[in-house]
Amino acid sequence: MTISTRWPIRPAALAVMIIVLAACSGGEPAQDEPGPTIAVGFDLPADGELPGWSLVTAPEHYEADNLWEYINGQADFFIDYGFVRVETAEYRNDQESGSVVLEVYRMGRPQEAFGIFAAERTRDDRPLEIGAGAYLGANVLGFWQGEQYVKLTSFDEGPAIEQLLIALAEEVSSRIPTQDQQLETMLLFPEQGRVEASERFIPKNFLGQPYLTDAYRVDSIYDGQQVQLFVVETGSPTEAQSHFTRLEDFYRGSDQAQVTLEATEDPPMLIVDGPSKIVVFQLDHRLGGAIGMQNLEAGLAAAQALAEKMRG
Amino acid sequence: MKNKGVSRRRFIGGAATGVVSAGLGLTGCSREIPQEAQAAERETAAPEISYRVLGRTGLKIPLISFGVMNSDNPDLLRRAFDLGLNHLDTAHLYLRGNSERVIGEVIEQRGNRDSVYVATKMRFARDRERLVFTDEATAREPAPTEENLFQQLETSLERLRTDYIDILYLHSCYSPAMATYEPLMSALVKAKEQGKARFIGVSTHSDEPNVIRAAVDAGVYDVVLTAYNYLQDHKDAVGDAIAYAAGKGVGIVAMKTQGGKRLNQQEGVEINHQAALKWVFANPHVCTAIPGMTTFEQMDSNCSVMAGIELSESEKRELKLASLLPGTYFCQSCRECVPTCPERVEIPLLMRAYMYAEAYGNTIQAEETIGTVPEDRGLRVCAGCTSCQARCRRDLPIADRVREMAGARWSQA
Repeated sequence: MTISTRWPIRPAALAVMIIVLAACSGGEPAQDEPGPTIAVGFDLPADGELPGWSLVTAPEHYEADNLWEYINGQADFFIDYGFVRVETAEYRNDQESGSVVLEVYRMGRPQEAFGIFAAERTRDDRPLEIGAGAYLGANVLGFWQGEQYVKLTSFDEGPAIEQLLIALAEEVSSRIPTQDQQLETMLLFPEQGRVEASERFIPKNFLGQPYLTDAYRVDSIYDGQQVQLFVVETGSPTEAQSHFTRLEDFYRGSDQAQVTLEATEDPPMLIVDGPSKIVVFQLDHRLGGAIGMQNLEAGLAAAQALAEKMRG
Repeated sequence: MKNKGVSRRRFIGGAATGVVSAGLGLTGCSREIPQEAQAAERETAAPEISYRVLGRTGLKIPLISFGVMNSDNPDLLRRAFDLGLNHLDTAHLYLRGNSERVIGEVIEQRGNRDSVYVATKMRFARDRERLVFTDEATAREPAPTEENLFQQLETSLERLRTDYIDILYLHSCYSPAMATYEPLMSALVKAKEQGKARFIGVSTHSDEPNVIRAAVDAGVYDVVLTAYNYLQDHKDAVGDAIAYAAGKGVGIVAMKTQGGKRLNQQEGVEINHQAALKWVFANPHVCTAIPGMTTFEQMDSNCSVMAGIELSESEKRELKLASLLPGTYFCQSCRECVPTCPERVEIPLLMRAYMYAEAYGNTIQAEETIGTVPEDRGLRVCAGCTSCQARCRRDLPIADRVREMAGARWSQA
C-alpha cells in the first residue's frame, strides 16, 4: 500500500506530543529513565536531496494496521516493541552500481528503537558508531537514533558496498533531528566482563511474565562464566516488591527447580536452581539479577556485583 | 556459593512435587491463593495433549504448535518441549535469523532434534502489485532461483544446527501464480530429494482459497500453512479449500488464528484466544495452529484448549460479538468507498484517522494521518458538501464520522 510520505510535525503538534508522552509514561517515572522526549519525525530524503543518490522508487509508509503487508510475520514482534510507522524507499548511487533500500522505523520511545535494533543485531555483525549505535552485516546496516531504527539494505555485498552503506547511513543520521541518546539504565551494568554489542531491551513479557516490562539485559563474563545480567524498571518500590513476590511464587510452583530466598543478603536474593538458573533481587523500584548461566555461584556473584553498581 | 553470613535460609524446592511443569496454571499466582492450593490447582490443570496427523506426511502433531518469532526467552521453548509441543514454526528472515538461531541453540542443548519437528520458510522477491515473483532480486529479498533457495536453506540449516528441515515452506504466496512458480517448486522438490527437507509446502495469508487449491493441484506440496480465523470475511471459502486439500492428503497448518495482533490492538478489545483457537479446531481438517507465545500464561492458556475443543455457547456468543466489532472502528482499506464519493475523497485515510483518535485516543497519530491526505481530497472538500453519498460495504457511518472529525480540534491543526 502506497501512501503519501509526508510526516507533518507542526509546532502545535510537538507541544501536544510532549504532553501526551509525559502522560503516557504512567505512574512515577523511574529515576534513571530517559525523560519524556519529543517524538521527532523524519522525512525520507526526496530525489536529489541526498548528494550522489537518486530516488528509485516512490517512498511508501506502513503503520501498525498494515505493517504485515510489508514484513509479514515479523509485524507482531515489531508492534510489541512499540512500532509506530515505517517509511521506506529505494535509492541508487550515481557513481557505483549499487542500490539501497532505506527503511526508517519510528518506534514509540528511544529504548524501543534500541530494542528492535538490538533484536535484529546478530553476533556476526560488526559494531559501528553511527547514530546511537549501529551494526554492519553482509549487505545490511542498521542503527538507532532517538525513536528511529534505521535499516539500509543493499542488493550486493563487498567492501565497496559497505562503504556506500556507511556513507549513506551517516548522511541519514545527520538528518535525524534527535541526536545520540543514551539509555541511562544501561549505565547500571558493571563494565567489567561486559560482552560488546550484547545489550538488549525487552519491552514486555520479560522472563515470560506479562507483568515484567521495560527490561534491560546485558551479556557478561563473570569469573570465566557466561552470565546475562538484567534490570527491570517498574513504577515504584511497591510495584517492584510485588513483582518480586510474584516471581518467587512462580518459581515455587515448579517441580523442576529448588527455590531459595537468601534473606540476609543485601538485597535479599531469590535463587532458582533448576534447568534454568536464575538469581533475582529487588532494589528500590527495580528488579535486577542474572540468568542464562550454567554455574549458579557465578550468577549470584554477578548479581551481587550488579546490585553494588546499582547502589552507586 | 558465596554467602554473606546466611542466618535464615528458606528452602522451598519440591513444594509442588508431581506437577507436570512449572508454568501450568500459573495465572493463579496473581490471585494470592495459598501455596498448597496453587499446587493442587496446577496438578489438576495439567494439559492434555491432543494430536492430529498432518496429512500424508504422517507427522503426529499436537493441536497447539509454537510459532517462534520472538527470541527473547529460550525458557519458553524449553517449557514448550516439557509440555510436549513438538512442532516449531519459524522463518528464515525473522529477526535476521535470530529466531532460527535460538531454536538451534535450545534444541542442541536439549539434544532432542529427533523428537522435534522444525518448520521454516524461504522468501523471495515479489511484485506486491502484480502478485507474482519478480525475475530480479530486491535489496530485501533474493531473486526466486534454485541457487538462492539453496543458499537460504543452507544458512537456515546452519542457524538451526541441523542437517534437515521437517517442513520447508515457500514463504507468503500472495497468489496461485506464486504458489506454483515452477523454478521454486522444482527447487523445493530437489531439497526434499536431497533429504534437506522432509516435507515441503507453501504459506499464504492472501487469497487463501485459490492459493490453497493451486498448491494442492500442483501435486508436489505436502503441507499448506494458511491464515484461518473467525474474523475472515471469506472464512467459509477458506474452510472449503482446506477440505479440498485434506481430500488430497495435503496437511493443513493454521496461522493468524486470532485475527492478527493489529486487529486486536486496534479494536482495543480482549479477544477470547481460547475460543478463537477452538473455532479453528472445529474444522477437523486443520491439523495444528501456530500461535506465537511470549508468556508462560499464554502457553498454559493455549495448551488448555486441547482438553476440550468444543465451543461453549458463551464462547460462540463472544466470537460472534467480536466478529461484528470491525464494523465499529476498523476500516479495512478496501477502498470500495472511494468511487462512491463524487469528489474521490480519501475516505480510508480519514477513517483511519478517526480510529486513531476515537478508538485509541491517539490524536497525534490521527493528526499525522490527516496530514497525509492531499488537500483536494480531504476534510475541506467534505466541508463544502451538503449530502454525503459515500458508502461503506461494512456499513461504517462515513458521513457521521466525517462530520464529527470536522468539528474535532485534532483535525484542525
